[in-house]
Amino acid sequence: MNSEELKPGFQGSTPRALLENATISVKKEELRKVLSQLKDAGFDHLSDVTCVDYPDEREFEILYHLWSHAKKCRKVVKIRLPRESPSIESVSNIWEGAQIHEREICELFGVNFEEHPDPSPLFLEDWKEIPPLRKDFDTREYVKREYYDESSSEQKEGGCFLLPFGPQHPASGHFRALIDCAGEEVTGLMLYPGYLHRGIEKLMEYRTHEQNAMLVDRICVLEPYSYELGYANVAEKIAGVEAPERAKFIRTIMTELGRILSHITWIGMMSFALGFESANRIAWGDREKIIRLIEIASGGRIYPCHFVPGGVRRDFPEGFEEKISRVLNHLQKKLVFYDDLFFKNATVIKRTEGVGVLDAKKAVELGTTGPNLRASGVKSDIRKDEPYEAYPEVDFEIVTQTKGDSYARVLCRRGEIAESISIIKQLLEKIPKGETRKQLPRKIPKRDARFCLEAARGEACFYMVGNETDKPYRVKVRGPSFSHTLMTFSYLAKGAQVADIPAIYWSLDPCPSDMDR
Amino acid sequence: MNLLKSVMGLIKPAKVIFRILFKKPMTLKFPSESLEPVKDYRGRHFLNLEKCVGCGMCSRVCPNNAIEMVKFNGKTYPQIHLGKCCFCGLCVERCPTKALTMTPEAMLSFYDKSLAIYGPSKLSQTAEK
Amino acid sequence: MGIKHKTRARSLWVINYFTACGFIELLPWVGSGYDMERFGILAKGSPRHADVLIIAGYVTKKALPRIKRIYEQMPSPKYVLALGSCPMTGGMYWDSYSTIKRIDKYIPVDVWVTGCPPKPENIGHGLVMLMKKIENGFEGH
Repeated sequence: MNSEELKPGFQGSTPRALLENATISVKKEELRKVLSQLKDAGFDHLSDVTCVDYPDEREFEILYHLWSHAKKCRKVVKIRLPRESPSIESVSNIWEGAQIHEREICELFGVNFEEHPDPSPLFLEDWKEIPPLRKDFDTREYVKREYYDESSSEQKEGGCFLLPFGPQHPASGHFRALIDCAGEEVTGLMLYPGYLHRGIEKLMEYRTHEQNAMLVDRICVLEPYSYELGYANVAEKIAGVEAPERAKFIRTIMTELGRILSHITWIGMMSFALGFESANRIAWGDREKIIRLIEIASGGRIYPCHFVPGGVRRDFPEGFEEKISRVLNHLQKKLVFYDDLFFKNATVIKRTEGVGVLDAKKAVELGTTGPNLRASGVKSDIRKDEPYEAYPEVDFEIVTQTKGDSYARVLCRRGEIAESISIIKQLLEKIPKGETRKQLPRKIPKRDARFCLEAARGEACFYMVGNETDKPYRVKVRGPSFSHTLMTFSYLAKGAQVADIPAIYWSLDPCPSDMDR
Repeated sequence: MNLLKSVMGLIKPAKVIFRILFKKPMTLKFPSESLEPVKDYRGRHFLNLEKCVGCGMCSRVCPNNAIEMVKFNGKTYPQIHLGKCCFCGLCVERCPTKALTMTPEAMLSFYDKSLAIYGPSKLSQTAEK
Repeated sequence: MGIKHKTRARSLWVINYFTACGFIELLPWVGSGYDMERFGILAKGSPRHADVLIIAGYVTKKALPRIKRIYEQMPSPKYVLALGSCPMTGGMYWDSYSTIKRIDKYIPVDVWVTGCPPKPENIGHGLVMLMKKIENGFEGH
C-alpha cells in the first residue's frame, strides 16, 4: 500500500505525512476518515485509546494507538477536545474492539462518544461525583470525606432473570456475567466488570516513581513482573536513561520466569474449570518451585517489587543461576509429564477442540493479542517485532497454531513454556557483569512516552505524560485482559453451549484484576 | 479405532496419576513443619533504637502511609502499622543509618486489629520462636 | 469447650469466593503445596454450605453489597477471616476512590492476617488461630 492511494478525499495534512509521521494530530471532523484510511493502509490493530486531561488548557487530548501486524510499526493519532462539552464520534464501527476503550473513557473522564452502541457505566456503581480521572477530582480529599468521616450510604442491586455467571462462581473470576440462553445455547452475554476497580491510574498521579513501582505490581496478581518491567521502561524512556546491561538481563530472566509461572498457574485454572482436579493440584504444587526462586531473588513471593525505574533493586544472590537451571531442568522433565496428564488427555481434547473458534481477522478486529491471537495463526509477538530489554540477544521461535479454537490456545501456551525455558537458558549463558542500578533524575520532563511489551496474556502498554514534577501527570495502562474478557469472550460465548463457557473463558486466560485496574 | 484412541487417552492420565501415588508427597505438614524462610525475605521490620536518628525519611517514602513518627523515651521513632504496610521495603532502602531492617518473620496474624500497630518498643524486639 | 466446638473446628468449610489478590496465596493451600483438606477445610461453591468467609484482599464499593449478601446467606455459626492489609485499613489503596477502607465496619472479622499478600505460612497461622478460637468455645456469629 503506498501513500498515493490515501490521497482522495483527505484534507488537512498531506497523505505522505499520514504514513511517515509516527504521530498525527487531526481535527474532530476528520477523525473517522483518517482512522479508516489508516486501517485500510494496514494499521489493523487498535491497541489502545487514551485520554489525558489538561484543565489549564481547557482541553482533553484523546490518543488512538495503532499497530500494524503486517508492517510491524506503530502510529498515534491525537485529537484535542474542548473540556466544557467533550464530544467525539465513536470509532466502534471501524474497530469493533474500540467500543470497550471508549466506554471506559466515557465513564472515567465524562467524554461523550456519539453513536456509541452501549455507553453505560463500566466500573463504578452509582457514581455521583465528577468523573474520577479528571484532574479536578481529588481522590485523597474524596476518600477523607467518604470513608473516614461518615458511614457511606447503602447500595441497591438490580434484579435480573438471566443465568448468572459470577461474581461468586467457582469457575469465574471476580466479575459478573449474565448469560442469556435459549435451552443449552447461549444467545447473548452481558458483562459487568468493575468488582476490582480501584483506580490505579489515578493513584499513580499522587505517587513518585519509586512508590509507583510498588503499585504497578498490584495490577495483575498472576503475573506482576511484566507490569513492573513496563513501568520501569516507560519511566526510563521518558527520562532518556538506559538501564545498565546487567539489569536488563536480570529483568528479562525474571520476566520470563514470571511468564512460566503465569502459564503454570493457568494449567491449574484451566483444569479446574474443566473439572479435572488432579492436574490442578499438581500444577499448583509445581508453581511453588518458581515462586521460591522469585522469593530468593527479590525477597517477595507474589509481589516481588524487584524492578525500579533505572534498574533492579537487588542483584542475583550467589549461586542463583544454578538454582534457576535446576528448576528449569525439572520443569522440562515435568512438561513431558504434563503432556500425558493434561495436554494430550482425551477428556481435555474433547472438551476444548472446536470450541470457541476465533478466526484471525475477527481476532485482530476485537483487539485480541498475545497467545490468544497467535493461536488463530497471526504471527505477532512484541518480543520479536520491537525487541526490548535483552530480547535482541536471544533466539526463539514464535509459537503459533492455526485452528483458533480453545485447544489451539491450550497448545500455544504449552509451546510458550518450552520457549521461555530456552530463552532463560540462553540468557543465563550470556549474562554480563557490572552495575545493576542507575539513579533517575527526580523530575519527570514535560513530554510523553509509550512502551509496549509482551506480557504472558498479550500486549501490555504503558503511556506516561510528565509535567516537570516528581510525580507523573498521567499514566495509562493497557492490560491485555481488558479486551480479552470484555470483547473476545463475549464474542466467542455467543452461540456456544452453556457447558462450554468455562472452557472458553479460561482458554483466554483472563485476569480480572488486570481488566479492572 | 476412534474408540480405542479415546480409551487409551483416558488410561494414560490415569496411569500417570497412579504413578504419583508412590512418590514422596509434595505437601508440607504445616504447622509442624514449614519451609525455611529465605534469608532476605521482606517480613516484619526491626528497629535498632541506638542507630535511629528519627529523621522521618521512612515515613515520607512509605507508599501506604503506614509509618508514623512517635515520641518514645524522649526521642522520635517510627511506629509501623503492619495492617497498612505492603512490605515493599522502601523504608529500609531509604534509611540513612540502616537502623530499620527487615526480618524474615512473617507469622503475623491477630485477633484484634489494634495489635498490628507496632510501636518502637515492639519493633526493637527480635523475633521470638 | 466441649466436643461440639472441637468437631466444629475440624470441619471448616470455606466459601469459594475470594475477592482479590489475597486468593493467590490460597492456591498453595488449595493445591498440593500445603493442602488445606488436611485440616478439614474444603472449598464450597454455595454460601449455604459454608462456615468461613475469607475476605481475600481489597473490597471495592461495587463488591461490598455482594459480600454482605453472601455473608447473610451463610448459616450460623459463621466465621470471617480477613487476609491482607486492604480489608484492614485500605492498605495499598488507602486513597483510592472505589475501595472500602475498613471491612469490620460492615461485617465482623474474627482473625486478621497481615501481609500484602500474606505468606501461605501466615495464612495457615491465621487458620490455626481461628481453629483454636473455636475450640476454646467461640460461638461464631
